This record gives sequence, structure tokens and C-alpha cells, in this order.
Amino acid sequence: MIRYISKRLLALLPMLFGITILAFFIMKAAPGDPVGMFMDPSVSLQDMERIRSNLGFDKPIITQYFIWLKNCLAGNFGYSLVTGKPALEAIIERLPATLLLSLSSLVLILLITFPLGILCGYKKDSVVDDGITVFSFLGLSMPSFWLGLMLILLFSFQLDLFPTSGFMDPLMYGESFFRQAGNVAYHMFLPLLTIMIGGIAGLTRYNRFGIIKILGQDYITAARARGLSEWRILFKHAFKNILLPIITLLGLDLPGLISGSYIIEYIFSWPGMGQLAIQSVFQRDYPILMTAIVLSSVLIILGTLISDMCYALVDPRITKKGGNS
Amino acid sequence: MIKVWGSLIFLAGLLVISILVSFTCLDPTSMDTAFIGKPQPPSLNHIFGTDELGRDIFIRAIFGARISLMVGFVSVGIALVIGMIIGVLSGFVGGVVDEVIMRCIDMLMALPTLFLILIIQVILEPSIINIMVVIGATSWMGIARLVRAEVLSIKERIFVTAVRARGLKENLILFKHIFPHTLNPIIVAAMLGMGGAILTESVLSFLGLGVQPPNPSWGNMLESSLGYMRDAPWMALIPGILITCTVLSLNFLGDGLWLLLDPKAKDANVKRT
Amino acid sequence: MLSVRDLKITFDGEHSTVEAVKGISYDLEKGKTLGIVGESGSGKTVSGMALMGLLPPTAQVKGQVLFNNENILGADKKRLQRLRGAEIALIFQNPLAALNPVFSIANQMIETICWHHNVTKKEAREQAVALLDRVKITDPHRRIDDYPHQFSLGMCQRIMIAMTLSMKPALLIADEPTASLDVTTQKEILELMDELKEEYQMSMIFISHDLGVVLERCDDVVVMYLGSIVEQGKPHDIFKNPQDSYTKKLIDAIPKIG
Repeated sequence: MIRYISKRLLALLPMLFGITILAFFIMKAAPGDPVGMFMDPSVSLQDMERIRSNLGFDKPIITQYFIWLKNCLAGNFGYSLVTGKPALEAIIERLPATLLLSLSSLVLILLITFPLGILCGYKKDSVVDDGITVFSFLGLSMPSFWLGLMLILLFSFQLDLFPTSGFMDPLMYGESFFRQAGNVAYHMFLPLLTIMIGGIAGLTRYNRFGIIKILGQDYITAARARGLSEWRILFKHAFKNILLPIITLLGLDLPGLISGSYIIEYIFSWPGMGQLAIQSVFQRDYPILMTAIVLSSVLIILGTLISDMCYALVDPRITKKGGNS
Repeated sequence: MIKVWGSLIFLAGLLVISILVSFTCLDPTSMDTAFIGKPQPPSLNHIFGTDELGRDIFIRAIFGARISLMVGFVSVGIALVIGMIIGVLSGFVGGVVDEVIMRCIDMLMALPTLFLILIIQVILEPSIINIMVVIGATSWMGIARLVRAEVLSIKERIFVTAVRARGLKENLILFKHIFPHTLNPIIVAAMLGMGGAILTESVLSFLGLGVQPPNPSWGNMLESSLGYMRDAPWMALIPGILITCTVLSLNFLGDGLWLLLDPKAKDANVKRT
Repeated sequence: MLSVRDLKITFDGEHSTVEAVKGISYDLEKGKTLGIVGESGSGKTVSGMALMGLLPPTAQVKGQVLFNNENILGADKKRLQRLRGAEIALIFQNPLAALNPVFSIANQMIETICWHHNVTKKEAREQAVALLDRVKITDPHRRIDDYPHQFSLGMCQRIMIAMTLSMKPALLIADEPTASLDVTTQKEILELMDELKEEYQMSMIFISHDLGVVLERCDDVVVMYLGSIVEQGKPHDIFKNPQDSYTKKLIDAIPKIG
């Protein structure tokens, strides 16, 4: 297993390298003078030149890249052009909110799609199956940001049930943990729902197709021929096998899921990494953007690694060599 | 089947209207000054109502449709061209070239594309052309993979070897015999890709990085609806519903085509004797 | 103990209905082996699966199947479930495909044993190891924890047989059990099955496309072609005196040495 992980890690590292190169060159392509942007206009030209050479802006571009990379590895991603805070710090402090939203949505999505997909595949072509299929098509075709807006329209404006934005009411500071948590959940409901609808819609079709394929396999018929109950067949034999394509799909879909959650955070003013990233796009805060690209890609690669690991855990054919004797 | 026919009719209708409207003198930017600041709900005069600048939403929606369809077609077209070239190259040449290309594709697919597009759009000045190019340039990877897989499987097949034995030049083999077979999965991917492109364009325009006002796009119509959500909800409802219906139709069509072209997809239950 | 009367099976496809089995009848006495011979599309596998109610919902099954004087064809789900494995068992053509790839052999065998008998997991494991030993899997104590893909096809078939035996069925339906195996392994598996049939006192339905094997090992033979029985009788009679033209072709096709 460890050998497998190390192999995968080795394969993924060049990817990370390539991504950093891409990020760097995109930033270099950006118009504007990053040094001048950060300076007080009253600073003299000579001082500016001095700072410029200090920061290495007069060296050839390849050298600049390696200087930047070295800085990144040391944790120095530059400073926000807007707030002046270290870019890495600014993004990391947003991480918990993003993780809270993403992980909760992931867990809830999985909890809902598995039974849903299994139900659909098992009762193929029934009314239930058709209905859920239409729902999932709908969910896939809706722009997620519009869904968010519609939910705001419905729940906040018309029904006045949930707040339109934010993380927690300022009045909640100092309250007990449970009241605070409750308030956060209250604020998280709508963005969570938005992400979930899209996620469930996408995954359910895949799940359904996978189940149909698996239920047609010989080992399912063989299990049935041994007198095992349908429940056992579905939730033990079929279930473990359906995990495999789902894990693969989640791994592949990760970049899309992350980008998508950024937009949702922006719509709901959820104080996560994504909201900062989108805001920085508008503010042309390049250091933050570069950091965001690199960190998102790191997250994605980490996620891919984790999904590979899970796959290897579930499927014994990956780690155990096929033998003959 | 209803789904497929309904989708075809809807899309065809949209296409026809979008083309026809270019020949009329309808102007999506003309404002009814009486209604500035007071969006009107749908009525007989204005089927979809008016927006915050007194412009008729129905007309704007049609022009928006024109843009969306155009973006959909062109960006997918670009993605198809790039994807097919690279896919065929990678599959046919094989070896180190194939390895390198696949690694690059893996890397590109690991990027948060939407986010990247936003950044690129901020660096360049947003215009319809560069929206289409950027979307096309970031969505060819899946197609390349599909094409490569087809090429690899066909490479193994006997008839290509037979054609080789006849002494045709490599390139001719490529174009004449392999290309037609790569079309099957491509058509489906193209349909679904169009839907994706339209969704991406709508996000871009919504964030102000796509089609610039006063040119209407469903995305930027949604953006201007933000301030009026309470008072004029139809401004937000209508463009969104249109986007959803269009992408839905494309998805239904793609799905229907897939079932048609790949008989294995239909039923895994019927067993042979 | 088994009486099949006028069994008809049709499949409702999207565009057409296929008549896979057009009314077949045969009997099987306790302790005997019945061979069903036919090519692909003859309906032999489908008829075997119909006995256990294993056909997909698109199949319409009519007729009568008397198992120990009980009509199991219209039986309810619960009865079928109790029937499967414990009374009638099935061995598949592709043994690797018949084993769940993500669970170890131990997991699958223990599950089967515990499902059918009231024993602890430990006892079940001991029984499983003993059975694997009986079907001549080497080093069963260690290998029982391996996964299906780690065994050869021949060994997988032995494992399937072991699993089947653990349920102690009265009737065994073997659907082309050696079709995926090479010739030497075929012989081994067939001999193993003969031994076990004697030891466990099972009746057997042996489905195959190979008339030679069937004539050698079965007490009664049924020849199927396109869903109907074209010839029926004792192997000796059929070989000496084939009535149907298809049977004659099959006999001619048996490779003879010398």
C-alpha cells in the first residue's frame, strides 16, 4: 500500500511543478507594475529601483520563477496588494470556513446519493427512477449561482426563513458554543443546499448507471443463487463495488467542485477561501490570486491522492498482485 | 423520446429565432424612459417585462440567446479541433509523445478551470471573442482523452493493419479511416460540452467578466437583477430559466444520442442463453 | 425428484419478444445426472436458471416445475430464497466472474456458511478451510484469505464448488462448469465433481455444449436446439441411434482418436 502511495505521489509531483509554472507565468502576463502598485507614490524613483532589484524584478524570468518558488516553499507567498497582509496567512485564515462548507456538503451529498442511486438502479425505469433522473438532469443544467439566487429569493425574501449571507451574527460572540454552532448552521443552510443540489444531481446519474452495471454482473446472480437476501446483496455485495466508480468520479470532479464552491461562497458572502479569491480577481490582487491558484491545486492534488488511496483500500486488485499456483 | 424531441424543438426554435432577429431592427438596448428605475412585470406589451433601464426583457433574452448559442458552438468547436488533433496525435504516435501529452492533460485537468478563466479574463479585456477562445482552450482535454482512446482501440483492429499492408502513407490512413470512427463519442461530448460552455459563459457574464453591458447576455441580465430581487423577481427568474432550459435540452439530446450510439448502455439486465 | 413440464420462457425486449424456451419437459431421478446439451441460443442456460427463479423481470416463465412434488415455479420470494443454495445450487460458467472481486474468499465462504447454518464465524471458517482442502486447494489455511483475482480459473471453479458443497444442496445445476477451463483442468474438475456427487449424494443437471462429455458422464441426456428438446434418452441409445439430424451433427462433431 505504501509503495502504491509513493508511486502515486511521485507521479503527482511533476504536476504540481507544472501548475506552479503556469501560475507564475499567468501572473507575469498581468498588466500593471506589481512593485509600483504596492508603493506609496511619494517614494523616490531610486528607492523604487532599489526595491525592485531587491525583490528580483530585474533578473531574467526563469530566475524570477525559481526565486518565487523558493519563497513559496519557505512560506512566503508575497503580500496582498489590498490589505498588505501576507498572502498565505490571508488565505489560510479563510480555510476553516471553506473546509466546513465543503466537507459538510461532501458528506451530506454522499449520504444522500448512495441510497438514491441504488434505489434508481434497482427500480430501473420505474416512476421513481424517471422522476429522480429528471431531477438530476435539472440540477445539472441549472447554473449553480442562479440556484443560489433562487434559494435566496425563496427562503430569504419570500419566506424570510434564512439569512442571505454571512457566517454568524455578530451578536453571537460570547454566547455558548452550541448557540454559536447553531447560528453558523443557520447561516450555512442555504449555501450548503445550493452545493448539495448540484452535487446530488451529478452523482446520482453516475451512481445509478454504476448500480445497473453491477447488478448485471455474474457475482450478483451467484450470490442470489446462494439464497442471500436482496438487502444483503445490495448493501454488501453491490455497495462495495459501486464505491469504486464513485471514488474515481469524485477524484476527477474535484477541480470543478472547488471552483464551483468559490462562486457559491461569493454569492452568499461566506467568509471562505473562495470568497477571498473571487474578490481578489476583481481587485486584481495578484499575490493573493497566485497563492489561491497554487493552494487550490495543492488541495486538488491532495484530494486526488486521497481518492486513489481510498480506491486502493476498497479494491484489492490494486495492491495485491494477481497470483496463480 | 419526448425528452429528445422536446429538446430538439426547443433548440431549433431558439436557433431560428436567434438568427431571424438579426434581420429585424429590434434593439435590445432601447429604453422606455417611462420605466427607468421601475421594472415592469410581464404584461401584454412586454412579454417578459422590463428591466431596470426600461428595456424589454423579451428582446434582450432573444439577443442573449443568440450570444449563448454562438458561444456554445464556437467554444466547443475550438475544443473539438484542439482535442481531436491532440488526441489523434497522441493515440497514433504513441510512445514517449503519448506519455508526455497524457501527463500534460492530467496536469491541466487538475487545475480549477473556472477560477483560472476568471483570472485570465481579468488580465485580458473581456470580449466575446476571447470568452469563446478561453472556454474552448480550457475544455479540450476531455475530448482529447476520448479521441485518444478511440484511436488506440482502432489501432489494434485488423483493418488498419490491412490498409497499412496496402502501402498507403501514414497520414492517409489517419485521416481516411480513423477519423470517422472517432466521431461517435465526440458527438455526445460536444453536446454536453456546449451545455457546459453556456453555463461557463453565464457565470463569467454574471461576474462582469464576460459579455459587457449594454450587450445582453443571460448572465449579465442576472447580474443586473441582483439589486431588484425583492421588487422585480422576474428579472432574475427569466434568464435563469432560459439558461436551464437550453442546457437541459442539450443534455437530453446528448444523453439520447448516447443511448442511440452505444447499445451497451441501454440494458445490463437481459442475459443471453 | 425433479419434474419439468412444458416449460416456456419468453423475454420481453424493447422492440420484440424472444421465445427462448418453447415448452420442454424432462424428469430427473434422485441421485442421477441429467445432461442438457445444446449450442448458444438453445435455451439450455435459461432453462436451468428458471428452475431457481433467477431470470430477470423481463422474463415470462410458464409451465410447471415439480421439485420433490412441490411446484416451485410460481413460488413466492421467501420460498425461492430458502430454496436457493440449500436445496438447489448453481455453478457458473465463468468462476472468476461469479466471485465478488472485492471480498476475500474467506469472507464469501463464511458468509454463505453462516447464512445457511447456525454456526459461529470461527466454526464456519474451519468448515470452509476443510472444504477448500477437499477440493484440493493447496495451503487452504493461508489462501482462504486471498482474493478471487489471485487464483487461477481452475482454482476459482474449485472454490465455487466448495462454496456450493457447504450448503449441502440436494440438486446441483452445473452450467457449463468447464467451458472456460483448459482441457487438463477440465478433466480434473469433472472428476472432482463425480467424486463429490457420490460423497454428497447429490442429483445433478449438467449443462454443456460438449456432447462428448455429457455422453460420458450422464445417466440421461436431453438435446436442445432453438428452445426445444429435439432428442431425449439414455446416452448409449442416443449415441448408437440418434433420431434427430441436429443430434447426428453433434455426434459427428465429437473428436475421435484413431
